[in-house]
Amino acid sequence: MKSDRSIKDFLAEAEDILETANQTMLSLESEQAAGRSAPDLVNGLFRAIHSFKGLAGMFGLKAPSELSHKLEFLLDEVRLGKTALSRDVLDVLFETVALLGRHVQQVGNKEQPEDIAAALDRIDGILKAKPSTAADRSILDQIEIDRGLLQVLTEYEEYRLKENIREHKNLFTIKALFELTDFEKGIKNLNDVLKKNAEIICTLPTAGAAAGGIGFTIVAGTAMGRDELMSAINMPKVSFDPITYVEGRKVEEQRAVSETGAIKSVSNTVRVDIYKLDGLMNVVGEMHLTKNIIGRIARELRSMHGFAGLSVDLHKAQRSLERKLNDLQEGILEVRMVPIGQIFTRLSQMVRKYAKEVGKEIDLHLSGEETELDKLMIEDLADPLMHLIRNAIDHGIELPEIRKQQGKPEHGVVKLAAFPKGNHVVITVEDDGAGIETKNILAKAVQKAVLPSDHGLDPETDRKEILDIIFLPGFTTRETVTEISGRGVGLDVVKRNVSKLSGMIDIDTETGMGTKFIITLPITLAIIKALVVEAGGEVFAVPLSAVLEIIQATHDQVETVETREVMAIRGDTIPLYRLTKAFKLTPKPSSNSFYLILVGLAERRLGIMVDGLRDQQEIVIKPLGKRISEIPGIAGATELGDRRGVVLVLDVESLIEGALKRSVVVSRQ
Amino acid sequence: MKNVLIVEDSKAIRSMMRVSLEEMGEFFAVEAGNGFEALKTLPTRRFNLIITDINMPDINGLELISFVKSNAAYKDIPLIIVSTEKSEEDQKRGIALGATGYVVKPFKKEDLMAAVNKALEGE
Repeated sequence: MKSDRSIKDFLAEAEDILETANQTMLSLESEQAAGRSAPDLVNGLFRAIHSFKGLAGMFGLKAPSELSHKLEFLLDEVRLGKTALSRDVLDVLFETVALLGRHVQQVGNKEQPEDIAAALDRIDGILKAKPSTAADRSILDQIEIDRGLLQVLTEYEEYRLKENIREHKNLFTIKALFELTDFEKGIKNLNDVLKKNAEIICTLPTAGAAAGGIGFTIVAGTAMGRDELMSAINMPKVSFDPITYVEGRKVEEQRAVSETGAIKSVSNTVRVDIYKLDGLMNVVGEMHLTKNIIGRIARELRSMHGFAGLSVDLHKAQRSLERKLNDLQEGILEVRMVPIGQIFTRLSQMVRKYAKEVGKEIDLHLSGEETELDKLMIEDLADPLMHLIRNAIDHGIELPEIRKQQGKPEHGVVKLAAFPKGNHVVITVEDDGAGIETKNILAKAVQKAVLPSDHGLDPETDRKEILDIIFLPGFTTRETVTEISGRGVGLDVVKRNVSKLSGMIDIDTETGMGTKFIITLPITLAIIKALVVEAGGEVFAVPLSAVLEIIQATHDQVETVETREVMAIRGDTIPLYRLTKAFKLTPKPSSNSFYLILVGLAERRLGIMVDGLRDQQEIVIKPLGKRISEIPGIAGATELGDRRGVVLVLDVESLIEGALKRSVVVSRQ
Repeated sequence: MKNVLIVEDSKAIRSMMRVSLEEMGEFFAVEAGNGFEALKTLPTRRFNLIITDINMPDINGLELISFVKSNAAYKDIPLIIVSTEKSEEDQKRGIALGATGYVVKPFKKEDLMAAVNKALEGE
């Protein structure tokens, strides 16, 4: 029963449930802040944790099962009115759900689950503080209601009925009849419109009008009077019988306030395994190769006698196939794309918690949640983004007193934004804190022996290079290893994670004003267009998204500045990269001219020197083995479908990185 | 072949129950994710047993039991409740309404099988 497949089932369902729980808690928090109670939301949260508990138990997962059991108990006390939903209780709810989330990840990674003792104690602390009141059955005697109905109420439904009685809401027994063949639409309509005007306490199916029918008896409570409710529902065949209060009290106040109803609607979605989509993309990639072979055959046919007509037909067919493949590819890519808002939600909870821990007030602004990114990439983004945000909160934003002195609002502002930019997505993490001083970086770098004391860097003119230093391993701005950098995670790891996604990270900062990290990522790593080039007799592929221009040049245009080869292109000095040198190949002897592939990302430029250009085609970048994949400069490998074998795909981003480092810093790597 | 209707809102748990029943060889299990689906499925074949969760949104397990027991076509079908230990009160109400037994989550396959066999003894 605990096969890999069923663990996948657990993970998918568990993640869904916790996502729902998190959204519900956030909604609950804002309702509380607005002074509104929201029994629907509390019940929704209870149900989610109840489901999670059942799920974890069935899969034999002790820690999450035990913890969710405790949490479910607490939530039951809250929904039955035995424990008030105070600020403290809300905090404990958030923390516990976050811990359950980590448990799910640990299950997925086959790691030991985090310890739950402290979390259990926290919940116990709350439960001990509130004395539970005894259940009061006599309240039900205040109304005249069919005893048969009372018997089918669950404990929760009974509590909601009592609450409605306590609040002297108008109670109704609503009866509707439907045909068995299509009752779902009817009852769904009735439920939807009823929920907007009343609280549904219970729904009891009954016999229908005739053999092929089915009926429903619904007990609902509302502030509306009978006539108002009936006209709001506007379904003539549905009967409304008021439930009378025994003392003869029937509150007919027509309050303008309408009940808040249900929370979220469930969308019509299908859960898809992302690795199946990867498989589909591979198939499309291979179809591209076959399509290229067809193109080659068409070309060869053209030059043969008597096959001209056939060749034209074949060529047309290839073009059509290409269009269809592109459509298919776009379709699959669309399915893989998910809005980045998914991780934004998780991050905003972390901000709450962390800000509290360090005693700072933080306003988190989110924008661009709907910006879409490949699902696999999104998962790998969560950690780097979390780290950047924690950095902003910890190092960037000043303590409230200091901010007040500087005339800044006491609440620190952290802005998390995402927006598309051509074939890329840009994600920024910005704070309005203290900013980073280049002077301090230099001092720290020398202290940590990341730079020699005679580095010769000027804090003003060499700003860009100095800021890059904070991404070097071994450089952190705090002595104490706090929880964030606890596992030795520095900005260098953030950068490495971003590079793994073929992205780049830049930093913008101003002393006293704040800091902004800018991450630029390709939208997807699946199929990309690439330029196929030749150097030293070998073939390489360069992702087209990074290619700005192709220039033909001669060797005498190459200059050497401080051991680096550069070339002047329209007034800019562009560093060069010789593929033959990097891969230790023999350069093509005779020719004086070469091709320069000008690549760039963000503001950086690099000229890759190659002997010749071959083609432009779609490729699927396949990962290399673990050992080789850590080599900077290589993104992976691909096949071109022409019997040449495996071709290396260049990782333009890391090439640009490597080329721009001053030799001084490079020698420290 | 005995037909069993499983009413349970967690897909993963539903699947596990179905697999357990079908492994026994003599059961054909039909799944329903909520009370409405159960109502739709009941008329589609002659069921020998209904296994239902109690805590479900909209129509809860107790309401489903009450409906089944008050319907001439279904009232003789034995019912098993699936619940959690905290809902003792709900278990009691379920038995009072006519369920023959219950299993408590998380349950082992053997517990489910014992409850199923006991429920079918009467037939």
